[in-house]
Amino acid sequence: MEQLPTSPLLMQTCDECGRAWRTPFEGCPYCGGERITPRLSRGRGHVYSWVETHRSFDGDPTRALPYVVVAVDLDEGARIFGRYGADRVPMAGERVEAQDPGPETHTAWFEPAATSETP
Amino acid sequence: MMGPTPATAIVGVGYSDLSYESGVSVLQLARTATARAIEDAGLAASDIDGVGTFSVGDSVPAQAVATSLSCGELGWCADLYLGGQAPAYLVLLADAAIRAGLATSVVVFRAMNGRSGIRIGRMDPPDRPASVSDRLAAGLVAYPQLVAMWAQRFMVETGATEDDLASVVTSQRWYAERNPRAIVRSPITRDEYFASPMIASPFRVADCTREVDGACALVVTSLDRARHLTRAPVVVAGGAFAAGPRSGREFGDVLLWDDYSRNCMDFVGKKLWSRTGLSARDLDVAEIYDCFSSSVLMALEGLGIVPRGESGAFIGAGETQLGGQLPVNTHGGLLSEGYIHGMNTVAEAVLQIRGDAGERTVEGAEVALATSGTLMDGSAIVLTQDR
Repeated sequence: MEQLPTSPLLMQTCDECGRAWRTPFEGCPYCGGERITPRLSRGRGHVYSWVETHRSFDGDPTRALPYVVVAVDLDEGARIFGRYGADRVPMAGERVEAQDPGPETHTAWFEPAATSETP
Repeated sequence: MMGPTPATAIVGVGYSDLSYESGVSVLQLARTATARAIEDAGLAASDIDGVGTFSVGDSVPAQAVATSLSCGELGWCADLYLGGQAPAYLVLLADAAIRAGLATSVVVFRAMNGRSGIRIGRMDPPDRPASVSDRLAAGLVAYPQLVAMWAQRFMVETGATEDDLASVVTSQRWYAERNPRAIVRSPITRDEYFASPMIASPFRVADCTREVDGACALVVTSLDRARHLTRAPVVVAGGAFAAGPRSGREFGDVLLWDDYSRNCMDFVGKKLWSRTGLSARDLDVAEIYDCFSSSVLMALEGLGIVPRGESGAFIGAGETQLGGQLPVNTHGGLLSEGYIHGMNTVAEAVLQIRGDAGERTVEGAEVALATSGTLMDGSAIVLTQDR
């Protein structure tokens, strides 16, 4: 549980309406409930949208170009941003799963899910 | 009993020079644009008793401009911490302030050294909730990337294509060639569009606004007063601001927004038409906030001007050119004129109602729309001739 505060897969869940989301809020954005519990997602979901970046906007040399960022709708209901690891652009609705991010990684890394996986 | 609520009108327009490096302070830009707008209205600074502006921490307070102009006593002063959703809304707030009796003549402006100083496109908000730190960590460090995700999903949902984005860019550039103020005036063909470097798919360089240094200002006063001034009044016929549900923690926090294929304009449109009693068919010209090309497609459809999925074909068929069904972004848009954060989008609508837009004037235009914003919240205003 020690990795909870910094995990990119940490979600906020509402004890009252059951919805889940990523960004901490003082109050549930869906029902206004005040009992909110952080939980780790299992890291599986589908690609909602994506962008392939071909130009560095900030000069950060650690990101090789081009790179793909995905918006993933996790099965628990939260939408998060992460990097997409396959050597192609994703498809809308494509099933993906997060790789073990490791302790120093602040973003989720997604790969196409094994085809045998069922949601 | 009180009589009908008096209307207001826009009576002055002013711009500073638009450039890549102004070499002057933001306050100087603001002072220049506001002073020109006041002069254009045939008013003196001492007639102005309200000042309003918006910024994202990159500009000067309204009171600084009032002091610099030597306006005297103010009855209304507003500093909105907002971005592209603000310009039409700011005019509506000025209209409300005048009708409420807080002020009689108001100047509103946006001023920024947006190219040589703080660049909006490269966002780095002071507050870093998870929504911000996540996107920075993932490599979403600039607005083109963030809005590209909306464009991508819009294309998935509606079948819009890169060819439709090309139609927006080429049709608007035609107007920019005829706009001496535009920062980008060179013609662009469809082939040249596709040769423009891809930066954040589906956006090429040509799909993105050009950040500039500059300022733009408008003067708003009561219609009664306007009828005694130099310029033909441009009547504020109505408008709307709307923030959709779960618009997030700040204006780049898009993680709680369900449908990236629909933005604030879906919400703004519903209010706008019911409130003004007008419909899209009544418009003679539309100036649509376009930080990116996709914003034009989404607004045309979100506002119900064109059925969903048909905006690209509408533009591609020339319907947004002079002589088409609805000329759109006659200044060349923010894509070409430059990014004064959409204040110049509203200003162009004013010039069109005046018939004062040079070669790009829509002859006889009586009803103009101007919109602001492309994400979760936004605004729109309808301007008309004094009828």
